[in-house]
Amino acid sequence: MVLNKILLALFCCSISFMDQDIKLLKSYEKSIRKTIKKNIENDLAEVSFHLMKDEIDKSEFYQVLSQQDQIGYLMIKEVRACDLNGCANKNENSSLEGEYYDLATLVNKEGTIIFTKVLNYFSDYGYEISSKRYLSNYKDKSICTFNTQPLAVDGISGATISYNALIDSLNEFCQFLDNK
Amino acid sequence: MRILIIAAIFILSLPFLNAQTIDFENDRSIANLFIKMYGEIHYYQEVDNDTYRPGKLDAKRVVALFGYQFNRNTQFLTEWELEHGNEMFIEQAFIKHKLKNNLSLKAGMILIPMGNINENHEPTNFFSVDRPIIDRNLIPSTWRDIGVGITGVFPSASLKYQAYLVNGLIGYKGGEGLFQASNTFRGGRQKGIKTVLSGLPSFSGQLEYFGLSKTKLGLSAYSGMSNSDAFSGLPKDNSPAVLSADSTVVYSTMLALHANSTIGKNVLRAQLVYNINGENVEAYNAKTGMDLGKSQLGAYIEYGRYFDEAQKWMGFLRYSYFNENTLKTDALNAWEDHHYFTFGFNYQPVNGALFKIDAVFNDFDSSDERRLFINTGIGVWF
Repeated sequence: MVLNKILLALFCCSISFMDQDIKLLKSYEKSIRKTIKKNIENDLAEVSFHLMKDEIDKSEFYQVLSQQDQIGYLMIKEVRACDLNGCANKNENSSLEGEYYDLATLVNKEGTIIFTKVLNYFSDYGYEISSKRYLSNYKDKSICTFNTQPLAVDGISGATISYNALIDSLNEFCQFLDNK
Repeated sequence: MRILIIAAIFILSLPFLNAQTIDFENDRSIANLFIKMYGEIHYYQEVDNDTYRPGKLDAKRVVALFGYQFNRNTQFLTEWELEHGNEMFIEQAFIKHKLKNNLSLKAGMILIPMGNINENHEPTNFFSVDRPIIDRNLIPSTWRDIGVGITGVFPSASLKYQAYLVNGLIGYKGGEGLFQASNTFRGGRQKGIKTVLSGLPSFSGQLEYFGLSKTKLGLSAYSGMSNSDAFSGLPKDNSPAVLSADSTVVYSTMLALHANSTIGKNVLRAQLVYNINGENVEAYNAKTGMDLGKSQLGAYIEYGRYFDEAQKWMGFLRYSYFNENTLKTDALNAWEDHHYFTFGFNYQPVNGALFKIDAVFNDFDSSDERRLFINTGIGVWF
């Protein structure tokens, strides 16, 4: 009986840890709420996030509501970063052990970017891409334009892997919105 | 009988031996190993109308970097360097471990974050054949030592920070002074080779701001007492001997400000470095017979322009200033300002492979000291 309880406790603990691994939103919810408030002009009531899809290539997609009004869609994603190998050569190895950064992108109902934000950057290379000023270049653009017109800006050109992964992420978000 | 027992033990142990065999086929760990290389080979030729000046060819360095990503939060990086064809060094060997967002622990043999080049010293990161003179004679790149500290990136503030405690430079070893006016601390790098720590560790830190659209700014600082093996074995109550050993160390504080800007095909780089040594420089020079200045100032500004869209061809100009002794000491009253003018070209047929040529006018403003060097070389980074 005691053993069963211990096993049950261990199982619950492991589920809870797994859950933490999957839900990026949990790690950054406070920061994301603050950024939404900053970027939406109207006085917002409490914002809520409704999970639409997760675990697809380390991405989470949410519908974002303020009371019953839909603000738009949010993607939070672990994005491949420049790594120990630097930025120039893309590491094709898709194992989990590469370097990454966490990216949040909010679009409105029409698919126009409200903000895209780097939440965490670990690598010593390519961190310039996390600059708020650089990322503001994406604001007010359609999420589906970057597969044909990648947005390069001076000074970011060295961060090739991080930059390509950012563009891939936005394209993935576009595809998700098309297929939802 | 003994042979039978040994044979029996051997046979019985075979299944266990088999179990310990490494199966390379299924070893996934190699997937997390990263390898990079860089290298430089140079030819220097001084041009002199009156005197024979043999050229110098040097396999300056061939370097291999190995990195291992244990998991998403922990990595190890090491850099093995073969210099001048016969000197082997370790330039980096550290563990970086993420403690939380924006905060990582870094420990081991690390590069001192100082100025433009020391941390980014691969040949594709500077235009001239050799590293800028300020990054050799004032910042002793490649400057590294053993230490521990923290680093991280704050994306919302566009800031990267580094702060370390490291073993400092050594100013006195084997009865000889190692700091001198012409290249400041270059002789005092311990390079992780059985290093001496005779006092407290030094502080090294850097703040980089990357929030401007086309420009990155950095502020670096280093402060600490140099080490000396003159203290080794001294009784702590022998004050005359300790006082004598005290004059073999120098307290130094170095500050550097650097800026890199890329606007289309134009690249602008600037760096200002100031170092001030403690009051005991005179005592250090008197004790060791060296000629270290009280303070040093170095600066350069550089403009480069790519000639084509593919950024294969580029030309650059650089003006550098170096003064070994801005606050005069008795030993060094004669030293004056040094001005260097460098211009040259790079050809990069593919990303990471460079052909370089430049001309360096040393002290071009002084007819007595003026010297001209024509340098050429190759550089790779892949």
